Amino acid sequence: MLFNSYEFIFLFLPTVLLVFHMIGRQGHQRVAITWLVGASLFFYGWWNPTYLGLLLFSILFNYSIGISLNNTHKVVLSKKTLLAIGVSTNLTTLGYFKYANFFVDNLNNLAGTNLILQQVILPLAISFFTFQQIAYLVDAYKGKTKEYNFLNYCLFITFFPQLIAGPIVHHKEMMPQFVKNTIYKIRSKNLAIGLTIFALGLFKKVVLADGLSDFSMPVFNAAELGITLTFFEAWSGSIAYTLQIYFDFSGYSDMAIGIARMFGIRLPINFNSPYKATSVIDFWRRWHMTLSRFLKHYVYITFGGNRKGEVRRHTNIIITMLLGGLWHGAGWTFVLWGLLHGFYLVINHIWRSIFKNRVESKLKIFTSWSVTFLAVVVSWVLFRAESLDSAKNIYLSMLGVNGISLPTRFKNILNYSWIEKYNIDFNGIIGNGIIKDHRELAVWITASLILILVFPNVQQFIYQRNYKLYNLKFIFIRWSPTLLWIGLTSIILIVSIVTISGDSEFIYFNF
Amino acid sequence: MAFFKYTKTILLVSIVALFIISAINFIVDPLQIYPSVFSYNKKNTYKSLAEKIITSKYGLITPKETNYNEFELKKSLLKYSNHTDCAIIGSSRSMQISSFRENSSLNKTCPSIINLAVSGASLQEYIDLSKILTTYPHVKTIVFVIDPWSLVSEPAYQWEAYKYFFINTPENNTDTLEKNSSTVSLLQNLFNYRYLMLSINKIFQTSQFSDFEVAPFFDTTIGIEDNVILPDGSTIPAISISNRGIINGINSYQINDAVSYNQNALKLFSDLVVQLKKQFNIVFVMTPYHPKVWELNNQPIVKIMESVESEIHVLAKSLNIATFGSYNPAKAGCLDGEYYDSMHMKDSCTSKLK
Repeated sequence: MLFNSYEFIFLFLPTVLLVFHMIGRQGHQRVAITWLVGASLFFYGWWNPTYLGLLLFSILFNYSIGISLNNTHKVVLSKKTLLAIGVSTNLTTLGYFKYANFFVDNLNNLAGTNLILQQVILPLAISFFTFQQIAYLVDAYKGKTKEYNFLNYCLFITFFPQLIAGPIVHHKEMMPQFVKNTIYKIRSKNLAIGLTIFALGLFKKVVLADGLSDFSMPVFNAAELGITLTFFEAWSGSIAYTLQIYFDFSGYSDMAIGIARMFGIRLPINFNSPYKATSVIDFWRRWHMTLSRFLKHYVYITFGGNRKGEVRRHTNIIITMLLGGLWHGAGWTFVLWGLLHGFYLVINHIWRSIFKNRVESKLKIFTSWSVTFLAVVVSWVLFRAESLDSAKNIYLSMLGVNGISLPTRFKNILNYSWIEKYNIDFNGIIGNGIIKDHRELAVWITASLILILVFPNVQQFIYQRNYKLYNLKFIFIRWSPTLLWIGLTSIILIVSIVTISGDSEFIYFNF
Repeated sequence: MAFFKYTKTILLVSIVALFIISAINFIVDPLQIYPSVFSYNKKNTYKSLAEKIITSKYGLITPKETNYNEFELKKSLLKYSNHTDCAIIGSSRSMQISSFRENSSLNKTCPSIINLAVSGASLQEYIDLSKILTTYPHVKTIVFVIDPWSLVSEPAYQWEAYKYFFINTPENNTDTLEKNSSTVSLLQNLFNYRYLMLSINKIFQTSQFSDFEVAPFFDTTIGIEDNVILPDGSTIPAISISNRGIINGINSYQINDAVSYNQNALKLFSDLVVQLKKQFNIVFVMTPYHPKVWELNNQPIVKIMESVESEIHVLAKSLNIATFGSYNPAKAGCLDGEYYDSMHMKDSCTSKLK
């Protein structure tokens, strides 16, 4: 079931919320949790009930390992062996469902074999619930967390707001909240804040992300068809996708956070205005924060982090990012995307160590932001492209290798013969006509950039008292339950609901 | 208390607004997909216009400045087409297909034609017009004139309603689950923004078309000063259009979206044809582009047309549907002078569609 579907908004969410609070208010907290687990399993099974079994098996297996890790005196195996069994089983399951076809295809290509493996369907959310449980096992191994109650453990994994695409939560940051009596009673403040965050997230997804997808999709599809893109088409498509993926995923995260808040649960934030970042290091502290946290604590530090010298540190960064890329999908484009960000990060760290004491001027901040944004836009091409050929096609056009077509009216202004040798012509910037309406696209991109770069993000609107951007203080309307916000939220909610159309999935549902 | 009031007011405002939107969509119901208990009963101004066209000897002149809803007009024309056995569904590129004029088209397959083509038609119009055609038992054949863009996108506002329509056709035995899911989908369509826009357009539709005049006798291969709609629904463009020739510049030959077809749209179209086959003989037609366009073989348009055409042939073969024509002018046998512009054929070219 999608958050941006009528059945979720009008039926599932109100029913689950109401019944949960009705049961909880009467003091039947265990029954309320059982209800929430049942509802979450229903939510998951709506997509494909077949994979409910896999989810339940995964929960049961990891719970058993977790229990054993907390009671090693009763178990024959050592803690280390238990952890190894737990992690490797999780990774094997993930590997089979996510990478088996990829592995066989590449093996066939390399070895010239003709191994045939039936198309393995990727179970929804497998990457998320697997990582969440690996983190749990590692924490249990280190004695940082323990869970003896199976129902609680089920809730930790299946809690529907974060089940499908995160945020990836730690046991210790979510489950203690369910112990508090206060969450079982409806609190109007939680409802008000939750509803507002949900509405803003829904708007980001169905209006902004889906709107931008109309411009990015044709460009990437054309590239896949082998059509030569113009310079402007390639850049427009890449920038449109850069904005689309942000609105799509951060919109999803906002909705998840908002829904959880309606239940009185605070989930960790997942995005903190990543496109305001002035370095790639900064970008990864703001983008998909809970995944970055996972990769840092459970991959990078496990490999030795920065404790074994500079060379090892940089190698660890690259390996971590490569695995992060592979986590997103079984394809060489994702591997390269991860590698590219690994190299970005290494360059960024080297740069920082050379220019330690530089003075921050506005020009330097702007330059840093521009370079970072450009690097991120370039990297998203690999992430979105369906094949390496397709990505290459777009990159060549972005570099101007396929020529640059300028507006026809510039022909009289610029001296044609002078410019001709640089592969520049004057056939208009819309070139192939892949972008339906370039003026509309310009409006979309400009408006989106203003929203992203100037305005506070959703969490800042709700929780922050003052808002500063690059040392500039902005006057902004902090959220409060006033008439103005009633109007704004109502409009946003209504526009979003009537804009919902068809089956528009979230990009991260594929991972 | 402020938080409670805040939440309550937002929910209340949203519910009232959504109720108003769904009421407008339900009552006005521009595509007549809901039960007609409260249907918006605006006087059909197109009915009289359609009657005027059908009863005219040489068609009706449509003044350049007049805006009219082609879809509504064609729908009304259909009501008077008691003797036609073949309906053409397509875009402006198929508006010349006719059995009325001397150079008739598809005369072996379609002895008597009603041309329901509307400008820019795609899958959405295919569905809407097919739905209407199922209530006209005298129409035996539906000709889908498929353009390179026809299957680019899924229908915008009636995707769900489509399911409802086909699942409710008597000969269709679908299971209860599918029926229920379609009823839910139909309910969802009540909140649809695009359907709301259609409803609003219908409410404010005012034209009475008094400036439409009966055409005198004229040579249909040349035309007159204004566009003429013939009694079979086909169109003769004004002389100015006939003489505009091929527009120079690369942009004239392009399709606005590089996606040649969308798998969902293709699947939906295939489902549509499977359903329609139970009642009609179905034919696919592809009409040629100007040879100069086809010369641009390094441009996306040619690749797109080739890929769409091949996909249509695969579909036709799998569904056992007859296919005529091609986007390729050489295959269709049309020459440079047989076009109004880069993509609209003159009837000498359409007559080659057999």
